[in-house]
Formats: sequence, structure tokens, C-alpha cells
Amino acid sequence: MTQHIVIESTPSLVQHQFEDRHQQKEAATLGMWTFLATEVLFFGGLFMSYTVCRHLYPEDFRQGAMNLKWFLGAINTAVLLFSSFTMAMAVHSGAVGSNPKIVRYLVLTILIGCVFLVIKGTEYYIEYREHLIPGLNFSLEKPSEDQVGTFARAFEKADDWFSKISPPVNKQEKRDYPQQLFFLFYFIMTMIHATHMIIGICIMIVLIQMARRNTFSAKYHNPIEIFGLYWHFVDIVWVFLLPTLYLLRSP
Amino acid sequence: MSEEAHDHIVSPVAYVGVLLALLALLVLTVALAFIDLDGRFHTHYVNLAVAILIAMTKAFLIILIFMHVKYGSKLTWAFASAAFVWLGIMMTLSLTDYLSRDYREGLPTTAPQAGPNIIRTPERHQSASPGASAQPVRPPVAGRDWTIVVPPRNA
Repeated sequence: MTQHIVIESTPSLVQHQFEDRHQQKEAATLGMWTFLATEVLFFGGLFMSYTVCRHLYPEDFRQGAMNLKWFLGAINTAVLLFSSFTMAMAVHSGAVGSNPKIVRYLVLTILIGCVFLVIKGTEYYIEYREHLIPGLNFSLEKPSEDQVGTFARAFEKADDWFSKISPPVNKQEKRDYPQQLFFLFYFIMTMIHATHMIIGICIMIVLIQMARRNTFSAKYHNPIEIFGLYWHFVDIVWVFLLPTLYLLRSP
Repeated sequence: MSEEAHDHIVSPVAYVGVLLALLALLVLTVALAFIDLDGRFHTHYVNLAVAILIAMTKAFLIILIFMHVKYGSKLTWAFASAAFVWLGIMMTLSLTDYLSRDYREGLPTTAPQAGPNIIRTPERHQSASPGASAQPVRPPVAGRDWTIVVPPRNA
């Protein structure tokens, strides 16, 4: 008669190349920061060329920025700051080892992230109707009210209302060719940023699945922790995009 | 490092505090955009510089508290700073060049070689290419006898 000996084994949380879980966490954090350093220089190149072009064409950049709906940008910043907060709370839930709370906060973060993307998409739509996309439909003449449509026109009216409180100095009615330079920066930078957010949302869906299988505990929550770093970094990029793209109002 | 230092748990109160501070800074930076600081100092840079300083304050808050660098090891500090130090070097060294040259109007001050889009100022109301009615992009700069014209799109 054969005897079956069942050895109870739980998979080790610390991979074999590490001394202990603290060293493992340190390595994970450093790896993420190394990746983020490459991201800083990736976005940094864009900000560098933005700085040079803005130095060369300050007035055109300002006139271009005046076509953006600054209040949508400001609302989006607040939305993204809230998502960073819920992400920080998800990391906190990981630190105290509560999987249901991780799920709750990550779902909340995804929802707030989607609100951001919807507002961003609305902005792109308005800019499409206002003929502001270089290479696609940028025109020197402002489109007529019919071409803009009632939806996009409503945001323009809201912008006019704000302009009554603090009228922008030297606002041109006519557009100028170099303004396209500003819009190229605007579209490339915000689209790369939005791509980062979409990737982040996909990763969060995976993390939610892991949390629902009770993968995380107070002793092991590295994936949540280092994903938090990524999400906060995307938030930081937007914090710099707000003043550089939306808030160029004074000459 | 002690066991406790490794497992530092930031209290949610700190997170709420950071969130409120970030929102306050957001309101401040939007409000400042409506004040014409540039006009007061006769430059293009004051408004943007102040806004970038506020953005850097926000980024510091996020990096230190939300991203836990404040509670991290020295090595984490070094890695986190390295990225921004190199960015700073790139920005500073590049700008020493651009800021020290006269690139007003986006072009060097010496007249460029004649080309289809560059004409001498006295002729600027004539067409740059035959048959097209080109208009100058902007009024010529004082003391400069040339300007750039952009032919109309369908020319």
C-alpha cells in the first residue's frame, strides 16, 4: 500500500534571489524609479522643445492657448488629483492588507481616470469642430457658428463669459500660421499623456483581478505600491501640462 | 534599518492633507493666470515662471508623500532625484544658448539667403511667387529690411 504524503506548501512571497521581503520591496521600488527616470527624460524632451519654441514664438503660443478651454483643463487637473488620492488610498489599503479595500479604491481610481479621459475627449471634439487640428483641419479663418455646432459653441460661450471677468489682453480675432506649432505640442503631449492613462487603467484591471484572488497582504503588496508610483507620475506630468498649455493668457 | 521603518504606513489624514494642499495650489495657479504679471514686468516669462514654480511645489508634494520618497531609503532618494537633475542639466545648458541669442520673431537677425518665401520689405505687398497673393506673416521688425511671407494654401 502506498502512502501519500501531502506536504503543505505555500508559495514563498520572497523570490529566491532576495534576502528578505524588505530587500525585494526596495528592488521593486528602485526598478520603478529607474523606469520613471526614463519617462521624465521622455516627457522632458517634449518640454524642452516646448520651452524653446515658446521662447521663439511667445505671442503665437499665447494666441493658440487662448483657443483652449482653460476651465476644462483646470477641472481635469482636479479630477486627476482626486484619482491620485484614491490611488494613494489603494496603496494604503495594501499596506494594511485589506484586499476588498484595494478593489474598492482601484475601481474608484479607474472611474475617476475615465472621467478625465471623457473630458479630454470632449476637448478634442471641440477643437475638431473649431478647426484647430494641424494637418487635419487647421484653418486661419474661424469656422462659422453652424460649422462649430451648438455643443462646441456652448463651451465657447462659457469661455466668453469668463473673459468678461478678466478680459485677455490683445486677443486676436484672426489666427496665425505659427499657432499650429502650439497645437502640435498640445495634441502630441496630451495624447501621449492620455496613452499613459489608458495603459494605467489596463494595469489596474489586472491588479483588481489579483486583489479579488486575495493575492495581497500587509507583507506583500509590491505590485500595488509600484503601480501607485506610475499613476502618480502620470499625474505629475499633467500638473506641468496645465500651466504650459492652458494658462498662457497674459502677453 | 529597523523593521518599523521598512513598513512605514502613511496615515490617510496625511493623504487628505496633501490632496487639499494640491487643490489649493491649483486654485492659486489658475487665479494667477488671470493677473497680467508679464505686462507689469515687460517680459514673456513671469506668469509662466510663477505657474511652473507652483507646479514644481505640487510635484514635490506628490513625490514626497504620495510616492513615499520621504519615507524611502537614501538609494530611492538618489534614483528619484537623478531623473530631475539630468532634466535640469538638459534644460539649463540648452537655454543658455537660446536665451543668449537674439531670436526675436523666431529668426536670426542677419538677413537669410533669398528664397521663395523671403522677400525684401519694400516688395512685401507683391506676390512671392507669380500668380499668388502672398501676405506677410507679421509686420516687419524695426531696422530689418526683410520679412517672411507664407504663400496662401492653395497657391
